[in-house]
Order: sequence, then structure tokens, then C-alpha cells
Amino acid sequence: MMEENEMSFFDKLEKVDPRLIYILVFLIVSLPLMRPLGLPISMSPMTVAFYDAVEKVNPGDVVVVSIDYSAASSPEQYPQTKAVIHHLATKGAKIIGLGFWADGTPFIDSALKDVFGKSKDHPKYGTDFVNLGWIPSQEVGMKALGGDVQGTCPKDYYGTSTATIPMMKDVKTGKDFKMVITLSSGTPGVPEWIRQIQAQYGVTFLYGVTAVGAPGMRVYFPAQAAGGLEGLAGAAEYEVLLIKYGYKGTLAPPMDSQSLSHLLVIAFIVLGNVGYVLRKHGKAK
Amino acid sequence: MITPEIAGTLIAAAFTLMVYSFFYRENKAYRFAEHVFIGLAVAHGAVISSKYVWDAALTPLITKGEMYWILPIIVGLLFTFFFSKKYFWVYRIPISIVVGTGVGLAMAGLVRSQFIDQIVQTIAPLDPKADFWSSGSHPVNALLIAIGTLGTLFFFIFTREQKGPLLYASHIGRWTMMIAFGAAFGFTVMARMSLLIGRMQFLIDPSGVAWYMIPVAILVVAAVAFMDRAKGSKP
Repeated sequence: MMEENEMSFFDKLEKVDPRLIYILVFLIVSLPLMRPLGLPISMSPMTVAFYDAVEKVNPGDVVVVSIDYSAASSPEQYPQTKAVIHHLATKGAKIIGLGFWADGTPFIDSALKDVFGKSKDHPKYGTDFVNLGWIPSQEVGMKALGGDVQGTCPKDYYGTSTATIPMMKDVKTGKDFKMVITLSSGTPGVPEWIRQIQAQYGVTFLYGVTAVGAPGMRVYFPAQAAGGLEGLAGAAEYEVLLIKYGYKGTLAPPMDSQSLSHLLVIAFIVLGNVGYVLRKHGKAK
Repeated sequence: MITPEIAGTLIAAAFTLMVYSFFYRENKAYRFAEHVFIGLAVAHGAVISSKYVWDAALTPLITKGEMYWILPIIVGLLFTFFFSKKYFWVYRIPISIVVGTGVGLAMAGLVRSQFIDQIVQTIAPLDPKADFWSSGSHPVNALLIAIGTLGTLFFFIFTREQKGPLLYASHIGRWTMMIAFGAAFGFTVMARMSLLIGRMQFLIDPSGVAWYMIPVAILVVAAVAFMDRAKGSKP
């Protein structure tokens, strides 16, 4: 009798309206955003390696930050972008913002404004940081950038001739980059940068990717990529490491939501498998 | 006072909720939001692409007389033959140039960075002092990588019947791949949740105005659900 009840429960569960599950997920995600739980954020070795690599940047080193994502993955990657630019700014790097995704171009400008307060109107624009905007032709564009930076980007994002920008005068080819950081969610992205710039010029290479892309990128660590930020969790871990530079992160509540939503998914998977085993066992009998 | 920022936030919130209305059922609001998104992305791409062509090719052609830019501009214009039924074959010329250049460039770098360097890393020297959690050079990790890599390679041997030792090796490969797929699935769940979290942060931010749209959306969905029930149709 007991077994019959259990079976009918799992049968009912199998036929539950999926919209109830959606509502549950919405609630689980929203509640910690309204009332944060303060769950601890553990540190991944990839994030620590990323942080350590940026720590080695010296004042005046030229670092390319490439925004290779679109609005669709901005919830994961925009926090990475802001944290990376903030860290580079504290180290005194000369930051070249650019991107190979047309839709990602506005995020360079937004991130510079968020970190420096202004972008092209900032007194240090052109000496400490620059926005070269979008470069077309994907991997071919990367190859061209490595061969001739000013020829590939004749003007910056705001229409100023690149040749007249002070910090760009000595940046001619990929050899002049100290480090390349791509924040990427697809193609062109990490493999293309490794093929055309890291392998060709021996530049220190770092990446920030969406969680979906993270497992596929680990193969490049540590020989080809010195570190990586993986999804929202990577950005949150990086924010924790940047607290000592006065960086005010925003990802602690979202990480609570992330953890709770994962617990919910695990519960669904366990429940589904228990139901499967019980039904199979019942049929066998 | 509705400023452009407030109006923009409300429009963004409305579009977010239109997209999420798909969770109730496929509907016109969702389709409208989807089409607007695609239209905006294409328009944005077209504008900045044409700006780049203007800056990089047309400006030096016109102002400096650099005539060699005519050639790539003509090749670019050949793409428009995509819309001609009669001369569609012309469109294949720029496509072949783009594909040929892309594949040639990719292959040149790929052999070194994604083939040779990967093999070198797989057989890198052992380092007992390396960090167990992050380094593939740690002896335990190196052993796991070696077993997993060889097992996976054996799984894809199709020219010999998989029995005996080959079958065991292939089973190891299958398990290795299942673990890899499991990790990929876990990361995918994390990514999808991150996207939802990003939008929910935007929607329920008490300092913003986006949340004004939430009760409106709930009322609309409730009204649609009520009408569905009245009609007797199952949403």
C-alpha cells in the first residue's frame, strides 16, 4: 500500500505543470536578491591565477581588454569587465579597450565610464586608456591587429585618429602588448586570440568566459592562458580578491541566488532519479 | 517627470517581461520582443560595420587617394548579389575569399596552439610539488589525464571490433566523456541561472523603476489565463 502511494506521488510529479517549476526557480532566485543570505564565496584556482597574473602588470604596461560578448551574456561578463578594468587601472596599466563582437562595443564605453567616471572626456583618456571600438572580420581582424594596430584601427570609438592618441604612438604590433585579456562568450574568442596573438607574439593571455564555455577553455591553462574567470562565480571571486583595492563588488547577493538555485536543480535531479529507480523497481516486481 | 533614463528602463523591463511571458505560453508579446531584439542587433551591426568601412577604406580612398582600397570595396559590394536570383553565383566570389582567408589563417595557428601545444601539455613533466587542485602536472592529475585521454581515443577506434582490452579501454573513455559532459552540464546550469539572476537583479532593484512593470505583467498574464479558462482552452 505504502509503495503504491510512493509510486503515484512520483507519477504525479512527472506530470507536474512545468510552470510551477518556473515559479519556484523565479522565487528561489529573487528572494536572496531582496534579502541576501551572506553565504561564503570559495576561491577557484583559475580566479587566483588570473588575479596573480594581473598583479604582475607594471605601471605603463600595455594591456588589451577585448570585449567579445553581446548583451545576451552581459549579466555574467559585464561584472568581470568592470572588475578587470578596475584592477588594471590600480596597477597603472595602459588599457586598450576593443572588441570583435559588434554588439559588445557599447560595453567598453560603459565599463570605462563605470570605472573612471567618464570615458572620452576623462583627462586621462588617450594617455592611460583608450577605446578602439569594434574590429570586424573576426579572426582575420585579430591577425591584422597583431600585424598593424593603427592600420587595423585607424580611428578610436569616438572618431579620433589613432595615430594622434599619445598612448598609441608606441603601440605598433602585437609585440607591444604586455598582456591580452579577452572577455568572451563565443567565436571569435579564446581559441582565436590564442592562435593569432598568444602563440604568435608570446603575450601573457588571460580570459573571462561564461560558465557554459568554461570547461572547454580549461585545456589552455596554465601553458597558453595564465588564468581565467569562469562565469558569474569567477567574477564574484575576483571581486572578493579586489576588496583590498577598495573595489565595491555587487555579486554577493547574486551568488546566494546562484547557490540556492543550484541546490534546487540538484533536488530536482535527485527527485527525478529516485522516481526513475522506484518506478523501474515497481515495474520489475 | 519621466526622463529618457526612466523611459528606457521601463521599456527594457517591459521587453524582459515580454520575453519571460514565454514561460506561460508562446504568445505575440514574446514574438514581438524577439523580433525587435533581432532587428536592433542587425541594425546596430549594420551601422557600425558601415562606419568601419567609411573610416578604414572610403576615407583614405577619398582624402588620400589610396586607390588600392577600391578592390576590397568591390569585393564587399559583391555580397549584394545574394539578393539576385540570376547572378547569385557572383556572391560566391566574396564568400570564397572570406572562407579561404579565414580557414587558411585559422589552420596556420591551429596546428601549433590547439594540436602541438595541447599534446605537449598532456605529456608535460611531472611535478610532485604542483598544486593538486589546479595543476595537471601533479602526478595524480597527470595519471588521470593520461588514462582519460587514452581511453577517449580508444573509444573512437571504429576499425576494430571493441572486445577484450579494447572494450575496457573504450569503457574508460566513455566514463571520462560522461564526467566531462556532466561538468559541462553543471556549468551550463550555472550560466543559465546567471542570466536569470542578472535580469531579476534589474527587475527587482528597489532603487530603480523597472519593478513597476512586474504588477502590470502579472495582471496581463492573469487576464490571459482567465480568458483561456473561459474559452475552455488549455494554455
